[in-house]
Amino acid sequence: MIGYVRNIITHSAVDGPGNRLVIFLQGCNFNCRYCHNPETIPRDWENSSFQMAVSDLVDEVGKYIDYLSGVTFSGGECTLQSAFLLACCRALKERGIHILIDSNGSASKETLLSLAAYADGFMIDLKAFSGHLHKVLTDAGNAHVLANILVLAQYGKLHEVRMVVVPDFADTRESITWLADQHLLHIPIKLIKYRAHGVTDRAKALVPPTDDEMQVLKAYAEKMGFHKVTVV
Amino acid sequence: MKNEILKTIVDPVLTYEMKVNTLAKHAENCLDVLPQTEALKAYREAGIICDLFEGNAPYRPRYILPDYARFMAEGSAFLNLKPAEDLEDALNNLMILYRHVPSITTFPVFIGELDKLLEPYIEDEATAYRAIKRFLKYIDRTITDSFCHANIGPEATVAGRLILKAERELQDSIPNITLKYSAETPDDFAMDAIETSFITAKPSFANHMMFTEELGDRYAIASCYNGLSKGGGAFTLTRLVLSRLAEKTEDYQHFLKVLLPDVVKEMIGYIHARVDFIDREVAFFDHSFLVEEGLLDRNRFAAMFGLVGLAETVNHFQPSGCRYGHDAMANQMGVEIMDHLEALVKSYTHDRLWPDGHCMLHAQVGIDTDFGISPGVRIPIGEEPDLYSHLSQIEQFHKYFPSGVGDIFAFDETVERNPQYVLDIIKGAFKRGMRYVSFYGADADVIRITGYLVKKSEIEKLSKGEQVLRDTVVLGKGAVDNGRVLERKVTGL
Repeated sequence: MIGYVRNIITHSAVDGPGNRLVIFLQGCNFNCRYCHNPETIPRDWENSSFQMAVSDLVDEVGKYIDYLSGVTFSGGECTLQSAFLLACCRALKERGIHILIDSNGSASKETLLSLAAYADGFMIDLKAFSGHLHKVLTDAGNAHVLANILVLAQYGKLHEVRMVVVPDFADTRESITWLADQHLLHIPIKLIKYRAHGVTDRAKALVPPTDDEMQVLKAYAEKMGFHKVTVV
Repeated sequence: MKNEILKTIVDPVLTYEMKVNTLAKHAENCLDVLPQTEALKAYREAGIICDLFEGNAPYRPRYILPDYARFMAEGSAFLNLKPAEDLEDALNNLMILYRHVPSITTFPVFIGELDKLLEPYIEDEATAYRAIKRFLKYIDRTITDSFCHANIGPEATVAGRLILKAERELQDSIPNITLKYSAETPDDFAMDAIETSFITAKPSFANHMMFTEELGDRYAIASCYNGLSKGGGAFTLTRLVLSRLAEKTEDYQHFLKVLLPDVVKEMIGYIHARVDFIDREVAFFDHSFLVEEGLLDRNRFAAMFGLVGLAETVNHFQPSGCRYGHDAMANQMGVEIMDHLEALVKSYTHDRLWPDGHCMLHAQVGIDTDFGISPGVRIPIGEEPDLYSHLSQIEQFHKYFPSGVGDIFAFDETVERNPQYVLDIIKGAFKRGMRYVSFYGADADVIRITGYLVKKSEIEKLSKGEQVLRDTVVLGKGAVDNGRVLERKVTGL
C-alpha cells in the first residue's frame, strides 16, 4: 500500500499533546482562502509529493518513537487517502502508538468510523458555522463537518475542535454557540489567530484579529462553559 | 601582589563581601606550597591545565555536601542545635548550618534534598508555603553565588511542589535546583517542574537511574551539575583545556599517543598533590565539626578531572567543512579521544579518592574568559544541529562523565504551551543515555549561562558599571560577551 506524502515533521509541539511526529499527506478537497500550506492542496499526486509504503512510514516513526507522545496525520486533507491512512493507523496501533488525525471533517461518516477503530482521536477544523460563510472561505459546504463533529463526539473520538479566527469571514462566536448547544462543553477548543504568513493572494481581503478580539472570544467560550479553551 | 590587593580594595563594582573573599584569595595565592614539575608549570602558563581559581594552598575541599538528613535527625553539638521540632525550627537550623559549610566559593554548593528534608515538618500547606518562600528568598539574598544547589525528587512531595511554586513566583537565580528524574517521578510533578523551568530556568533534570547505577543511591547534584556523594564531596576540580593542547600539533596521532598521555600524567600529579595537601597538611578532616559529627565522611570525597573544548579539538583535526556535532566522522573522533582520555585517567589511582580510587571525568562548563572554547563536550553555540541529531550526540558523550555533564535547550513559546513535549524528550533521551539536561524559556529574565543561573537584567546593570549582589553575574557577563550565550539556538514547533 502506497501513500502520497508531502512532508514529515519529526518533532512538533503544536499538533496534539506532547511531542508528535506529523505526517502531511498530499491533496485537499477544500480550498481555504487562508491556507498556510497551499502546496498541499493539489491532487496531482506524483508531481507534488513523494510515495511512501506503510512499512516505510512505520520504520520512520520507529526511529523517533522513544521521544514521542505519538503520531499525528495531517495534510492537505489526510482522509482523502483513506485506504492508506487506515493501513498506517492499523500498523501503528499494533505497535501501541498513540494516533491523532487532523482533518477538515468532510469525509464520510463510514470513513471516519473505520479510522476511529485505530486512531485515538480527531482534531476537526470548524472553519465557519454558517454554510454560506464556509463556502466563501473554503469553496465547500459544511454539512458533513457539523454532522461528523457530533458523530466523533458520540464515539468519544473528538480530541479537539479548532477554529481559525478571521473577523467578518469566520463566524467563530456562532460556532462556539453551536458547539455549546450540542453539549460539547467537555471538548477542548482551540482558537487560532489568523496570521498572514505563507498565504496566497486569495487571502488579500482577510484581516488578522487583534489580541483583544481573541481574548473576547476566549472569554465568551469560557462563559458558555467550555472547560478548555486555548488561544494560539 | 600589593597592587592586586589595592585594586581589590578600591574596586567600585565589588561588594564588601566580594572584596573580603577576593582578599582571602590574594593571601592564599602568596604561598607556593604545592610541588610542581617544570612540565606542569609550562602547561599551566599555557592555559592548558587550569585550576579554576582554586588557589595555591587549598585549605578545604572544593565541594562539600553535608549529610543534611543526619543533621536534621540529630542536630549539632558544635552549633548547639537540637533536632527540629517544626518547620520553623527546621528552616532555621538549615540557615544556621549553611553559614558553616566551606567551599571554593565560600558559600555552600549543596543545600540539601530540600523536599525530603522539609516534608516531615509540613502540616498546614498555606503556612508552609509562606515559610518556604521566605526561606528561598533568604538563600538568594545571602548565598550570593549561583553555584549553590538544591535537589528535589524523584518522588513527588508536597514540599517539592511548594518549592517549585515559590520559585515560579520569586524568579530568583539562586539556588540552582535539580529534579532527580526517574520512572517513579509522576508526570504531573515533572510537568510542574518543566513549567517552572520556562519561567525561571530551573530545575534541571538528572537521570536518576543512570546516576544511581554508577554512584549509588547516596549521590547528589551540587554546584553546576556535579554528581558527588552526599556526606562527601570533591577535593578539587582541575581542568584540561583540550583544544589548547590540540593547537600544539597538526598530527592527530601525535596528539593522541604522545601529548595526551603526557598532559594527563602532569594533571593527575597536580590533582593528587592538591588532595594530599588538603588531606595531610591542612588535615581538614581532623579539624572540622562536620566530620566529627558524621555530616561528612572523609572516605567519600572525589577528585574531578575537568575537560573543555572537545568540539574545537575535533574540528582542529578534521578536514575543513567537517564539524563536530554534524558529521559522523567528526563525532567518531570525539568518541576515540574520550575513550583514550578515560583509559588514561583510570590508569592512575590514589587511595583517598571516592568512589574507586580514580579521578572522575567532568565536562566543565567553562569560565568567563574562555573564548572560542566550548564547555565540556558541547557543540558550539550557534552550531547546534537539529533536535534529534543534537540529542543523539549528547547520548554518545554523557556516559563518560559521572561527576557531571549537561546540555541546555532554550525553547520558544510554542513549546512553553506544551510541557509534555519537553517531558517526552527527557524520557526518550534519558532512556538513551543522556545524563543531565536544563531548559529555559527564551524570553525569561533568569537564564542558564553554562551551568549556573544569572538574570539578564543584572548583567545589564553590571555592564553599566553598577554593583550587583550576586558574584556569578560577573561570570555570566563574561560568558555572554565571550561565549555567545545569548545566541544559543532556540527550539520551537
